[in-house]
Amino acid sequence: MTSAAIGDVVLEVDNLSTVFELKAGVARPVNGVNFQLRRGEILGVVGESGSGKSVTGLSILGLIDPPGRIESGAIRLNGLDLTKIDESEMRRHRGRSVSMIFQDPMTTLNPVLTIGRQFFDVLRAHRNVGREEAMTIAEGALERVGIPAPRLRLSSYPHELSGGMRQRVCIAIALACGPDVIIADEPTTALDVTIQSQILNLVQTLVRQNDAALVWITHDLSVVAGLCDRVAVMYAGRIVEIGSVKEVLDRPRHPYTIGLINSIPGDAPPGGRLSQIPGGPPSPFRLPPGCAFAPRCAKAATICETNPPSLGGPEYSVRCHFPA
Amino acid sequence: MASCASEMKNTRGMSEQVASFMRIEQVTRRFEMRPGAFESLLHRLGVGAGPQFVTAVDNVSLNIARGSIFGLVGESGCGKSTLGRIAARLLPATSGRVIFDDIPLDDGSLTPAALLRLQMVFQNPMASLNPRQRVMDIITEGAIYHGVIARRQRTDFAVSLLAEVGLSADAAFRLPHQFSGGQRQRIGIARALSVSPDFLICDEPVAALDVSIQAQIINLLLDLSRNRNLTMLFISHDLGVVRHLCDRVAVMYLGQIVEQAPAADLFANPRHPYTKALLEQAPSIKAGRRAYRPIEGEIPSPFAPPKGCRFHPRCPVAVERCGRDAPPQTGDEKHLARCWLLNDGSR
Repeated sequence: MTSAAIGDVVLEVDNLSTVFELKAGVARPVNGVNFQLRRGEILGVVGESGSGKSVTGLSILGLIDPPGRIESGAIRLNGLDLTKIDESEMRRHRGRSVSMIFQDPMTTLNPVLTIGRQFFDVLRAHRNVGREEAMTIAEGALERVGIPAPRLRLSSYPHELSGGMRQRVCIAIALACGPDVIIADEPTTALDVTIQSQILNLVQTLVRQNDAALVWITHDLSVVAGLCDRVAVMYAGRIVEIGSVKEVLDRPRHPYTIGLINSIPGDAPPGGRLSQIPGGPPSPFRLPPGCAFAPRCAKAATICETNPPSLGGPEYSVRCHFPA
Repeated sequence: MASCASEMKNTRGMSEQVASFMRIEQVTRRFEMRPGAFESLLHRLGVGAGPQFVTAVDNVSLNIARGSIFGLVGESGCGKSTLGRIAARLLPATSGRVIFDDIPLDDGSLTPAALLRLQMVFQNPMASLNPRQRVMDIITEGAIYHGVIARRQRTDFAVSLLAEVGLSADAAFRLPHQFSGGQRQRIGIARALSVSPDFLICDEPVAALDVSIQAQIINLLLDLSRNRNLTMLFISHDLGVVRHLCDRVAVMYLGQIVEQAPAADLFANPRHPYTKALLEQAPSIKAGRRAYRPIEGEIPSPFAPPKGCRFHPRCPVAVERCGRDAPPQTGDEKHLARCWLLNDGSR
């Protein structure tokens, strides 16, 4: 892809498995996820509900609470394995070297604290700054995300801002300490088209300026097409296909990716039937022993039901016995 | 209108009178925001504002042809759902009227049987299905109450309805939480169909669904519209879905229709700057990586809509007149738009 210079690997997720041990059994929402992320790169993680994309994001930030736990695998941020460190050390990294933007800014921001106060809390936790200095930093951060009259906004409460403005505030706070990696979980899903495109424009610019790496978790392939450098398609807790946006979207090879792309209205003649993937995804409590997509796959053979296919190299790979 | 009907893919060669199945005539809906006790006390003492009004739907007129799927698109707060609820008779209009199959909906002579012909499918099936009712009861209750079927026929009736929406017979004995989102939406559709309506109002029926499931529901709606000869008002913010499904599309902004045209025409030649911006910015898988060129600003508060053209503060091509006078709707019957620049130019 043509984009700003893409640098060294900052984040490496290696065979990550996250499980939730519940009364009903053991759920495996993330079941062996591998990917690498380089500085300046935007990786789209696409999947349908329950595919494990959000749990992957939360695992990276160490935000999995019991009964959930990271069962195996490594998350290396600049070489440091985040699964091996304790909570107090994790707190030092969370918000500083890795930060998160959530889907709903109204539940992310504290409704009874001013925007300025919430900035101050983040800055004070990670940087040795006084109140006045923090406010100056915050003002600059709000200005960079395109909030008019930033000084005034510091004394506003979240409910006084529109949805798009609140999401800008969340982005400003996430970037405040200059993180190496930002995980964004469906940050524009709740926004209207015209506001979404403002936020996408902003994020594209900021990632380039800050030389950060961004993981953009979404269910929307068309957002990925416009925003990302690479894309990972998740299904039932695994990455089934990963590669550059152009490779994956123009020449998808996994039957699930092909099915997803074909079910988007666009190419089909208006009023005609859309191609659809039959059935629904498997339960995370009872994953099939072989390829998780086999029960819905038109190409499935006996080997698909018994042997899980493996994922190839780190740059482009597809997890299928019979890729297109 | 006959001229619109001729554009419809589903035209069945009807005369001029029956072509327009639902006419929405100059419908306006205002909501009053009542002040709290303290504010009204202040108001009585002569300080502070009185009640505030929001005009959610502002003088909207539409014609929906029989057998067609009419798309209503717009961003949140533009009034599209309010208009849908007025069309479904769930909400009265402040002024104007809705004429359904030549009968005004506010007519006292309207029988319950006539009203059954209008049914609604909601966005969130988990919120619109009773969690403590079995699917059998959810989808047959209305039909039994209104005498469409007798109570002893309910099992056969439920099974055939479920089959029609693509669910197996054993679904009848389960509860809503035992289904996935797509299956729940199928149940919501089955409930709407249970009283044999000929007009469905669908308010964002696929917005909460995953892409592959969304395709299943869109296919189901297309099949139903053909098999049952249903007319639909399809409310959505998703332009891709609307383009695929609808025959005619109206675009709403801050309570007004800014443009309406046959779907193919609207997507090929959008005239209003807002429609153009929406089409340009809707993410598309085919667009490839790109630099976004978003339109500035946010949707203004409906409590204080801008003077003149409501879109002018965000419009990239606005001229001085746009901030002064509200533009009239211009164009021919088929393709209408509300913009001064179209008025001055060739159209």
